[in-house]
Amino acid sequence: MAFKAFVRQNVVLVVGLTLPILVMVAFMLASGLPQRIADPPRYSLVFSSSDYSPAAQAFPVAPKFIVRDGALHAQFTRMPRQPGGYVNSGWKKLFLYDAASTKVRELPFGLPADVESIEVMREDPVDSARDLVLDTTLQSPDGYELTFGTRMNGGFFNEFLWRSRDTYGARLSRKDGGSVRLATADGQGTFSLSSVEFVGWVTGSGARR
Amino acid sequence: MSDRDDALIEVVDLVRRHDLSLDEIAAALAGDASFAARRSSNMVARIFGYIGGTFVFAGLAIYVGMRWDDLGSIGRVLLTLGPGFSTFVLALVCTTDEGFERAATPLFLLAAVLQPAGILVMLQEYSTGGNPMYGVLLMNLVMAIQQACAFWARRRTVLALTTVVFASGFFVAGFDLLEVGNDLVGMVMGVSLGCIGWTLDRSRHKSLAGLLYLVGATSFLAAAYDTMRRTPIEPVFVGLACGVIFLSTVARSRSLLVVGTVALIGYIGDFINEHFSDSLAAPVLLMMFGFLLIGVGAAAVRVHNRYIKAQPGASA
Repeated sequence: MAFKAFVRQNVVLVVGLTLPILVMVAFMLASGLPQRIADPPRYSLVFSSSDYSPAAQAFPVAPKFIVRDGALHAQFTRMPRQPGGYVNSGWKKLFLYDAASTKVRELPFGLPADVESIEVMREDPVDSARDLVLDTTLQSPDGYELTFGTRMNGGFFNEFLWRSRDTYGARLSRKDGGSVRLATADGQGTFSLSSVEFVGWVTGSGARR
Repeated sequence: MSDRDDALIEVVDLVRRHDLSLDEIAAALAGDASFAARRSSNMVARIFGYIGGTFVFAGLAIYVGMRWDDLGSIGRVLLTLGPGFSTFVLALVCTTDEGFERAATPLFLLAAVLQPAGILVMLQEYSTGGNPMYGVLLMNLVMAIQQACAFWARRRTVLALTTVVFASGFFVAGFDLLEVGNDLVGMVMGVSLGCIGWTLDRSRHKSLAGLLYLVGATSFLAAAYDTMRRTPIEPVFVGLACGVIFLSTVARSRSLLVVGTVALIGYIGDFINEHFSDSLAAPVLLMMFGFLLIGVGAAAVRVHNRYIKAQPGASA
């Protein structure tokens, strides 16, 4: 009774206190909706992202990822030195979105041991992805694609409701509303439009030689 | 109603909020010696309290800064969270003794700065990575609960202020983690602060109402304009700004009047700049805009004098 009386006497205060709580709860529920209304991705994705660290940018070769017969290869191209002695390698990090754990983890990828022997270009298999069979079809067999943009398809209300920071974030999304944001395991790092490149969907696994 | 009527309403409101008796008021108006002495000593104690608190805070900050690199994790936490919590406890103790009561407000303010810093330092020293925003969320939650409990027990205006500040920080950090749109956050927090200000305006903590109205109305209108600008519903903003001006008369708040008037003038200026900046009609429109400004300003002053100005030095 005392609570009811307090609410009745302080309606405006109650509105002021509960409004942000209600909005917060609504967004917590809405954040989980895409995962609830649609099946999550069943296929893992290998993708690359630019490595902007100064050490990586000074590497003498630049990598380009290609898939040949389902296996991931890196083409290393020697980069010319800039007039000031700089090298801008455009080095990349390799990531795997693991559909089973729904986490993104980095695949080890570094300079080849005999990097000085690369005069123009050389192609090596990527050891950390040796067990993965990749398919370069942009859409996965279960309909997911690597996309960038808001969780739904823009529009006034979506832009009003969701923060613009998410506009250029990489996501796996499907037409029926299924959507998963690509982020590092701690949720802190996201992958932006300018740095992410699609490599291939993991459609199988098996050791290769 | 005349200005005298407004003043009388305000006096009755103050008497009821602070439980003043007619005898106390009569004695004060008659120039009672004890009242005059209390008034003078209160002012001196308050000034010395604030200056002393500032010196203590500055000395502590300089000492911590000088020793920071030499300290380990435990030392850093103890030097920030320790004095913060001690100051908070000391402030609570001060509120129980009438002789030290004036020192409580600066001590509460000092604790409200030192404790969050200590919590953030502790999280920085002992966390194992992750999104720092969760640390900010936790700090604001802990501080909001502590300050709200202290406010509930002591009913001090300064604790109402710190509770609102940390609760707002908690919600803003939470909205950030949930990736809620900035404009929606601005509008929700604006309405929320406005409602809390409205309630405080009708309590003994009235002195906070003006600040909350100012922040709330600014946040709401800025977010609303950012949402509506260059959309078909842009003219709705005029209605919102006028609504805030209307609210200022109901709430008897100068803060709302200033925010509403500035928003209205800003909208008109932006509208003319967008639609008529390259036109020959621009100079004429600018002059008309000038007259409009004068008119709006005069109207604002009239609204202030008619509905808000209750007595010299009225709050909010």
